[in-house]
Amino acid sequence: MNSDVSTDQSESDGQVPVSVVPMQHAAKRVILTMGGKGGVGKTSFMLSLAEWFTSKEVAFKLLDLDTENKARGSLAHYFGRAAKKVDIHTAAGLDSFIDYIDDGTSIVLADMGASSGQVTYDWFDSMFEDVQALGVSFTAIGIVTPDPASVESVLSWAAHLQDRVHYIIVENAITYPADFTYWRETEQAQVFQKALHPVVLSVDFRLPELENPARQHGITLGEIAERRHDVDELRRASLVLRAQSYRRRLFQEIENAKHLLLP
Amino acid sequence: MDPRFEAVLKRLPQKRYRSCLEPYKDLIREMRKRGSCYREIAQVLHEEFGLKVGMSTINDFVLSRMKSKTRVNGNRTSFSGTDRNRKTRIGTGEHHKDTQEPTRHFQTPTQPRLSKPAPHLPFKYNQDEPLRILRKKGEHDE
Repeated sequence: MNSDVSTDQSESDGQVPVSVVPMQHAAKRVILTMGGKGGVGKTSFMLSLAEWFTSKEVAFKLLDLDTENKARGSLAHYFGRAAKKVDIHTAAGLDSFIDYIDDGTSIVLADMGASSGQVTYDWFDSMFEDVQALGVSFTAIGIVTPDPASVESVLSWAAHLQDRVHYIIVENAITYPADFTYWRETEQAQVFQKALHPVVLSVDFRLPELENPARQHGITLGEIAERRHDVDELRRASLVLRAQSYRRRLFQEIENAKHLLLP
Repeated sequence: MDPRFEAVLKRLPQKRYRSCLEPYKDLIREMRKRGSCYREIAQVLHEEFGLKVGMSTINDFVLSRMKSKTRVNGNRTSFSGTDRNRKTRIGTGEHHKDTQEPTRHFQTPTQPRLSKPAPHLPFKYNQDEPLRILRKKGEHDE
């Protein structure tokens, strides 16, 4: 894991770093999930993204802004202290983006909580121009499932963020077969695609016998694929092969959006 | 004022500044007038006065002062233009009573507006409307 937590300035001295000048003209990127609908697979995709960055040997920082997701399923459950918990429901809002990106890391992966919309919109309205002037760009990741509420959530976020961010939309097949009619064939979703040109990625349906114990024990796809864990039920050859296959196809998909993921 | 009230007021302790930025309000106002962004203001406060504050803190401070200073003693402050004119000054800090600069913005009708035009929104979405599935070619109403 390349996520670097050793230079956590705000934690070490309790102050907000203001040495922002060196950041000017530096290429930095904040990648954030579009919160809203819960349980669509935001954290799972961020996990995959973290593994992809690791495979590319690209340093990044993980921020877990989903304060309501305290236990299993949270980034911290998988990455321990490497995933920094941040409470965004304060006056400073998402200023932690700036603090964390100011210490040399060029990529911040921020997993937003299900109720983070208004905080995020307010922060973008007041801070975006100044942060953008520092050379920071944003990629918002929306996860859609067959559930129309997931599509509405993504569209609602996009209506607030507009073209201040780049968009990656992940079609997450949480059922088999998965029907993405509400994402692919509704008027509003098509207007969004025409106006803001998201890169669309597909994520395979995962077998419950692999997905559920992985969540339960906080084990990533890569750890299963490489048998880097001690959970017997996930060491079956068929599951290891499945994990390798899922990961390979997922990484292929992510490659299609790498121009929106790398600084 | 009733002497009893004055006596009470004298006994009350002076209220402390609510914001650590209060002592720097003139500096912040002047920097905003000169077009400095919040990042630059934060940097000056840190380098010159050792005060570490976030950009959003400054933003909140500026916005709150905009609201509170529009009236003094129940009357409008020196810029007594219309509401529309007053709005053009938000964000510039040019609203204080003691500002010596002339009210040229209000006297010269050709002065360009200081406020930003309404942003163009590439994507509009009404979340109160249900998602409408588009009919494919060949599909007709029964």
